[in-house]
Amino acid sequence: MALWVLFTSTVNGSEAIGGIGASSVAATLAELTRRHAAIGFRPRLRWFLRAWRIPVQIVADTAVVFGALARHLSGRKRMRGSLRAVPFHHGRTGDPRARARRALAVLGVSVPPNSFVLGIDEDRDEMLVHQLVDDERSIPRLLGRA
Amino acid sequence: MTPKGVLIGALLAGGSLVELGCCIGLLAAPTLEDRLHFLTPASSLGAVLIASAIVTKESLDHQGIVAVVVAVFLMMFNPVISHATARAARIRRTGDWRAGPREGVRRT
Amino acid sequence: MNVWLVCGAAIAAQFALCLIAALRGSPFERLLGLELGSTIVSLSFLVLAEGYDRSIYFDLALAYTGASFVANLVFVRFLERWV
Repeated sequence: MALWVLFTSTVNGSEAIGGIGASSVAATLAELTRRHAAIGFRPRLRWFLRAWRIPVQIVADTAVVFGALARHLSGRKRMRGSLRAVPFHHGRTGDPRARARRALAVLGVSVPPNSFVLGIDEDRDEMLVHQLVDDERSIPRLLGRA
Repeated sequence: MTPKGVLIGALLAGGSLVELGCCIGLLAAPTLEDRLHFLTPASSLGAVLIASAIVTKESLDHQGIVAVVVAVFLMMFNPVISHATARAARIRRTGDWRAGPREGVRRT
Repeated sequence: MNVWLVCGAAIAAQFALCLIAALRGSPFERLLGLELGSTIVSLSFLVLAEGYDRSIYFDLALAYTGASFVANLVFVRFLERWV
């Protein structure tokens, strides 16, 4: 409802009725999906405190990625990505807390341009990441371990 | 040209250049995984610069809010597409997204 | 003509590069052209909406962004398994 008011930038009766209707339908569908799909997602608030590193890493990684592109185009150094495995505890498959932790870790590491996550291996407890320019320290920094 | 106009022009120029760099990178990068790295700057830094230009002009009215929502949506969900695309490509190619024994995986 | 329309045209012109990427290579490589093209189109909608000073076009950009995200994921899923 709050988003509806923000988007329409008006507060009058007819818009409010439309907003109530739309938000009721959306909330009902969201609750039905949550119950039937059994998708648990319970993050801890302190995980989001590390999110301030992401915008910094985005700017830094954009420079890194475009630098690699410039070197590739000028012929100085051919672009060649690499795979990196970072220790990461997978947790129990059905546990909502572990699921939230994995999802946020995948998102947090994949947002900066120089790296994206391929997956988190349950057997080896490691995260497989592809990096355009190899950087050993950026991923532990993003995961809050640096 | 007011300072606000100069700022808007700089933000728009920066955003356009980031997008152009991403398009060139997409064409020039040698492998699929390398090309995927050029999708993210477009949806993160490029989108933020362009949304910032709109917010500078409009402040937080309807247009400004929509620009912010579009930029946040692109920044958060395009990396999901990169992750899904890379994973799907590896599964299609080798049957499993995990690294094979002959792939040189560096370990932290 | 204002700076917004010039910038919007410049961003929209980059869609041609995404089209070239979408016309060559393996299906997954072509999909990358589509994915970057979706981002380019979303942002050009925003800038052109500001250039034409039509608030309704901003809603178009928002709707397109959401729809293109879902569409790209559907393509990825199909290419992974069935196509």
